Amino acid sequence: MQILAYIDPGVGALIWQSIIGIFIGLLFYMRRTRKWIGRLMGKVFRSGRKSRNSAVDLPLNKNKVETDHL
Amino acid sequence: MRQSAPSFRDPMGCCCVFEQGVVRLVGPENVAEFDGFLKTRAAHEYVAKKQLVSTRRLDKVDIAGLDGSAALKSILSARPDAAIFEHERIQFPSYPQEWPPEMLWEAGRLTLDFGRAVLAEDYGLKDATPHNILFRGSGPVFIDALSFQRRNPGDPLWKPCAQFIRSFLLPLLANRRWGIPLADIFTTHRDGLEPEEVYRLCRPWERLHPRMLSLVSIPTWLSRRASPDDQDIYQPRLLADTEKARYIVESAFNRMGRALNSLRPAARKQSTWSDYMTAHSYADPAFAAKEKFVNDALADFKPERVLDAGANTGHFSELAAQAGAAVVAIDLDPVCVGEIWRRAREKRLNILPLVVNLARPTPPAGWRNQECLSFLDRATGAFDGVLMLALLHHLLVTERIPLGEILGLASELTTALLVIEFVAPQDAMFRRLTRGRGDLHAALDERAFEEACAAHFEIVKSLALPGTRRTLYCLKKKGAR
Repeated sequence: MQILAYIDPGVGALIWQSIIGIFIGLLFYMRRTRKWIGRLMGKVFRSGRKSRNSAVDLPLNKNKVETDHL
Repeated sequence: MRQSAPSFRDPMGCCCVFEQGVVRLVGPENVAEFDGFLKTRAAHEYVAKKQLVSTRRLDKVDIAGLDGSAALKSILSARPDAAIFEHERIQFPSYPQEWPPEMLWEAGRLTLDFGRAVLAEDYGLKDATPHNILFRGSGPVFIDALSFQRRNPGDPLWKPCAQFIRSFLLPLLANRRWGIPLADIFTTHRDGLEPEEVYRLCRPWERLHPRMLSLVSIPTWLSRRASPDDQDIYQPRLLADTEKARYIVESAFNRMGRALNSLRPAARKQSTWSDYMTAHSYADPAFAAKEKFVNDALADFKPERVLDAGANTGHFSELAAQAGAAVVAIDLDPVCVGEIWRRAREKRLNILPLVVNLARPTPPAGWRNQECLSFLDRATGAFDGVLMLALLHHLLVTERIPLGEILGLASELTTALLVIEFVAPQDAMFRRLTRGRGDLHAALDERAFEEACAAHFEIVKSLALPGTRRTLYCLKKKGAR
């Protein structure tokens, strides 16, 4: 893609933006990792809760199916 | 009104202003991209908010009907393959050198908000200059729709960031820290201030202030260390992770937004003239009579475009705007003009406030002096009503402009109405300004004033303000309908 940026990008400001960009990039990965861990923990807790609930829910679900069938 | 020369910096196309409208020529290789931008959700949203000029593509019939200037015809014939778009016209163009800091700040905010909004649709802002923006009344409007271009999703840099710093942040900073008028900066620097220029103004310990460090000192130190021949700095570094690239670009916009917020001009600033409305020399009945006289003149003439020269904090500009006129309010004091802008914005009045000294009006600027027109080139004949209230003595005494010259200029600015306040040499304010040179104006009285008016105007009515040595005149330009 030909970017027709005809303005003066500066020298110091451009280098400074690049340096900040590197740190922001690291921050991005930290944020992504935190999200990933959050999702993973959420999955673990949800699956734990689900397995506990499923034991309680089973008779109810069974009743529901039976009612539907009738 | 004279028109500015066609724009020429952007290789994607040019903009041409002529008597009947504003057209933009876009090269055939860029038409799809430009069309694509106009169809983005952000563009539609900003047009609806009146913050982007509305644009339509002209077909062959429209183009054949363009009855433009010779300059337009020569441009059209030179670029027969270009697609032609028509922009809505902003009535009175203004430039950053005429804005108070409040307006530059608002223009900066629009630039950042719009630039950030289009990122989501993979468009980017390729330049960030206040010249992309005009004001419709007190509201900023983005006029350079060609500043938006498809961005490479892997590019983590916002290249115009340095230009945004130069042309918005550093002028605001220099104005706030050292009181450097924006007019001084932008009349001589099209692109604002370089970090190196601001660095030289800072005292050594100021260079370590967090804001200076980020906007001024570090860029200056880095540019000193960089080799001027190293072209590698400017090579695009694309990231494979486009989500990361966008995150970095958005963070640049956020950083610029925080810097802009920290430079927001303070309200209720003080200057020589900012307290005029509370400290003026009129008693209440005289001021009420003045208000009524101006209101009656506006009601009789119903001007659509009013110039309030020497507007101070814009009391009479507001009266004109409330009477339905589009007002351009000029004053030499940026603090007063900033106050007009705040009030116009709050009350949603159609007032464009500009820092212009009528005795030294904005000169033309740019290439061949044709990129930015002088104030008088834009203002001559552009108004059907002119207010010159409590201004005459400043022009006569402080600026030493002859009375005939002042009235001659007024007759060029207005096509119909002039409301002018005559201030006799015995007036306290007049005497204060003369500083012992009262003899120079000894012959000036109402009769001499009326005789001078007769060269250009008919006197419709006049009113001596009670308890003062001032008289208001409602004048009609000779030959006006």
